[in-house]
Parts: sequence; structure tokens; C-alpha cells
Amino acid sequence: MTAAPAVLNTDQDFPHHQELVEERLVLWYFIAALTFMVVSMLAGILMGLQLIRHNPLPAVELLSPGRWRMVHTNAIAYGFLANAFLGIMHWVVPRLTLRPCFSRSLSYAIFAAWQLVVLATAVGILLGQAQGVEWGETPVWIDPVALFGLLLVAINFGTPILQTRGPMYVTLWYYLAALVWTFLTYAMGNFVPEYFVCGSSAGAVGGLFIHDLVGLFVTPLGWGMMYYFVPILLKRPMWSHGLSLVGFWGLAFFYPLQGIHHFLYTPIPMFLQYGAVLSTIALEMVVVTVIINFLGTLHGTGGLALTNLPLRYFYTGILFYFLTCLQCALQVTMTFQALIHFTDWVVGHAHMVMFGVFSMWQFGAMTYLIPRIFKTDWYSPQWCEWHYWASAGGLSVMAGDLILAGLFQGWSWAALQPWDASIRLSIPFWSVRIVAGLAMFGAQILFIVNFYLTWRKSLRVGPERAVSPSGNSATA
Amino acid sequence: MTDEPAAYRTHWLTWLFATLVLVPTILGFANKFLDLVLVVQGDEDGAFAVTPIVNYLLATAGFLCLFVWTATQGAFQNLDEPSHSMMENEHRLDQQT
Ligand code: HEM
Repeated sequence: MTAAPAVLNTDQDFPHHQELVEERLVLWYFIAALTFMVVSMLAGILMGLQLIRHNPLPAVELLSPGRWRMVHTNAIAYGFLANAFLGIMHWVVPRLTLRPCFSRSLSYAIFAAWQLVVLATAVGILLGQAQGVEWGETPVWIDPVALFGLLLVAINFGTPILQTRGPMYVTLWYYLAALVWTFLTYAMGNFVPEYFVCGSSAGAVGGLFIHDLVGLFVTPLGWGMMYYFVPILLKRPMWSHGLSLVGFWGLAFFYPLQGIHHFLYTPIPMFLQYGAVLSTIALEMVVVTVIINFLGTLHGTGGLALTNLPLRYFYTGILFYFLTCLQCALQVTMTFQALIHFTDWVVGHAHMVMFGVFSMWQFGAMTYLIPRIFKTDWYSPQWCEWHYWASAGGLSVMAGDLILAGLFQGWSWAALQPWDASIRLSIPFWSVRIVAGLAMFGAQILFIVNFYLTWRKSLRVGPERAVSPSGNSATA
Repeated sequence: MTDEPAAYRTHWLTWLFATLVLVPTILGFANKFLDLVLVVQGDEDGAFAVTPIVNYLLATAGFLCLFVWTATQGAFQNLDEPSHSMMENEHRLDQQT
């Protein structure tokens, strides 16, 4: 529990990577994440097939599309994104703080418990026990267990972070805040509408919850890892650490008020809706600071973002982040909202954020870390390239297709055409979504096979050589 | 370790963006908060809006305290220092393996 200065001077004092990072656990988290990604994508494909009237499992109540949709979103949020972030944190936090996590056995216990929570959520949803809160469908009886799990996660990672002395690196700020925010957001979203308030009031809290889940759980963990991986891959510090702190504090102050921008034109009072609009505009400025900073860091070494695959993932994610924020700037105006509300524009936006930004970043981190941990190059760097192109390409088609579909649906409703007409015009778009989804799905299967064969290769050949920390082992 | 132009750039960029973000938001928020007070005083139904606002205010108050505390700890004195020490530590960790 003794304090450590930010840089330890003598080599004897300096901890070893092996003492700090529990590499096996990082891999287990990645395996769990990819497993849930497969489950979620299968559920997405089933739901997508239902929308084009080709439900392959008709008349099976347990497998009805409404339930699959919830499995799709929950498995992605809590199964894929959360697991991948936890795995990445097990690498990043100890290396940044130069201290291991609070307890090794607690780390493994959390891993096992979290998988049980996600599995129980999926089973509960399929059995029809979903809680009536968007993104909080986890059955009511699992909520306290999940919350307890989040508390343990906060203790496990919070301890080394709080023990660091001196000014903290921005990643640690993001991580520390995410640990507290996720716990509070989860409690607010699952308990307040369930037990304390109802009607529009519960709706307003629900709005805060769904947005805060993206902004206070996924976003800080995502940017936190980016501020770590990008400089070390580029071998140069962030362009401006001060600017990155503006981004952090901006998020802290403005994000929590934004949730209601999901519920524009609802019975929630207009001043609250306008409040959400205003803080969204303020946050757009914050986003600009973050993007300038990452572009500034890349300045002069732009070619690396093309040739180094993990970096390409990271900067592709930044590009999609910029695009989603641009969409937000439009979406948050009442005029535009009137057109796209309830349309597939929003679904396109959701896929672009969750897959195009955060999943891409996580794939970048996995592509970089897996060979480092196995101490051998990827079994097939070529397949890594395919994984990238099919994921990024599939997502671009899917998001573009749904965004367009949303505009047509909005115009159809604005022209007061019958509901059926908007369904008919949507079918071609929904069919394209399935094709794009299959490409994305195929990419993940290829990645998983590559992961498995890289593991087999590492057993066969033993540690080949120290894999370059530059992340080039994935470059074909 | 920090070169002069980088420190200067950090300094003015930080202040510029901080102002750009803060001024409109504080104005907007104060204005809307006034609206809320008026609604709560005049219309009982509007009182439900207190839940999300109180949530926000509590969160923000917490962050404000944290922000002030951080500033008093000197975390904003040499803004680029953590970035450099992080790179140095990473380098040393990588050299061991
Ligand atoms: C195989 C690929 C995928 C297919 C076919 C697919 C399909 C779908 C479908 C049909 C919906 C329901 C839309 C509706 O209710 O109208 C949906 C919702 C959603 N999906 Fe996917 N999806 C896929 C992959 C993903 C991935 C990888 C992510 C995240 C990383 C994701 C995140 C979401 C989210 C967040 C929603 C909720 C959108 C909203 O409520 O606005 N999906 N998806």
C-alpha cells in the first residue's frame, strides 16, 4: 500500500511486466467477449430475418424475435463490450500504475461471476423475465448481483489507480471515472424506474440511463484505452495532454444531462429537452478537442495508420466516432428529429457507434495484444487483414443502408402514407442489412479461428521471439 | 523534458476550448434551471422533472469537488508531465521482455 512515484528511478525498484499483468486472464476475457459477440450477431441475424419476413424459428415462444432482439443488445453490451474492456483494463491499468490489480483471485472470481451474470441475463430474457427498461432488460433478480459485481470491479481496478502519486495520466482519469459512473448509472437505470418513479418521470430517468450507459460506461473505457494504445504504437506522447484533460472534464460535466435528447417530442417538459440539446452542443465541442488531439498526435506519421493494423483499427474507429458525432449534431435539432424519430436512422447510428467505434477499437487492441501475449506472430496476418476489411466494410454498408432507410421511412410518414408503404420500402434496405451482417459475422468467425490457430502455433513453436511492441505482427 | 512550444500550445488550447465549452453551457444551463424553478413553483405536475435534474446536480457537484481537489493537488501545474512519464515507463517495461 505504499505510494509510488510516477517514474521509478532504480532498476531494482522497477516492477516486471509478469508481476503486473495477469496475461492469461486477458486472454480469457477476450475469449468470453468473442463468444458473446457470436451469440449476439446470431441473434441480430435472426431478428433481421424476422424483419424481412423470413423468421427461421416461427411459433417457438422461447425464441421469439422480440426476445432475440434483447439478447442481441444485451449480449453485445454486457457480453462483448464489457468483457473486452475488462480484458484490456487488466493489461493497461497495471502497466500504467506499475501495480498489479487489488487481488489476483478476486480478478478470476469477477471473471467467472460476470460470465454467470451475462448468461443468466440471456436465459432470463429468453424465458420472458425481461425488466421493462430499455438496455436494463436484465431480469430484476440479477440486478443486485450485477451491481455487486460492478462494485468488486471498482475495488479491483480502483485500488492500484488510487495508489498512484502525482498527476495522473488521462487514461487513469477516464478509467477511475468509468468505474464510479458505471456503478451509479447501473443503479440509477435499473432501480429508480423500477421502484421509485413511474410515467414520464421514469421515462426521463430511462433516457438518462440509456445515454449514460454509452457515455459514462463505454465512452470513458474506450477513450481511456485509446489514450494508452495510440501513443505507445506511435512511439510519441499525446499531442497535448492538457487538451485530453479538457475532454475528460467536459465529458464529466456535460454528458450526464444529455440523455433526454433521446426523448425529444415526448411529454417530458420542453425545458428539459432543450437542456439536453444544449449540453449535447457543448459536448460536440469537447469531441472536437479529442479528435484534434488524436490527429495532432498522428501528424507527420499518417502512413502508420495505414500500414500498422492495430493503429488502422484505432483511427478507423476515430473516423466513425467523428461521423456519429456529426450525426448527433443533426439529430439533436428538433427539425431533424421530427424526421428521423423512430426510424432506422437511429438503428444505423447505434451500429456505427457500437461496432464502428468501440468494437473497432477493441479489435485493434486484441490484434495488438494477442500475439504479444502468445509471444508469436499471428497464425495468418492475411486473415487479420480480412477481419479488418470485412468488419469495416460490412459496417459501412450496414450503417449507410440503415441511415438511408431511416430517411425514406421518415419521409414516407411525413407524407402521411399508410404504415404498410413504409414497411414495403424498407424491405430492400433490411435485406441489404442481412448481407452486410453476414459479412461482419464471417469476419468475426475468421478472427476467432485465427486466434485459436495462433494459440496452437504458440504451443508448437514456443515463444518465437519477443513480438515487437509496435504491433506489426498483424501486418501482412 | 517538456519542450517550450508544446507547453505553450497546451496552455492556450486548453484555455480556448475550456472557454468555448464552458460559457455557452453555463449560460444555457442557468437559463433552463431558472425555467425549472418557475415550473416547480407554478405547476405541480412539472415537479417530476426534479428527478433527472437532481441526479445531474448531484453528479456535477461531486465532479466539481473532485475537480477543485485535483487542482489543489497540483495536477494542472505541468500538464504534459504524466504523458512523458507514461512513455518512459512503457519503454522500460518493454525492454525487460
Ligand atoms: C450480424 C450483424 C448484425 C445484425 C444482422 C444486426 C441486426 C440488428 C437488428 C435487426 C436490430 C433491431 C433493429 C430494430 O429493432 O429495428 C439491431 C439492433 C441493435 N444492434 Fe445489431 N446487428 C448486428 C450486429 C451488431 C453489433 C456487432 C452491434 C454492436 C457492437 C450491434 C448493436 C446493436 C444495437 C445497439 C441495437 C439497438 C439499436 C436501437 O435500439 O436503436 N449490432 N441489430
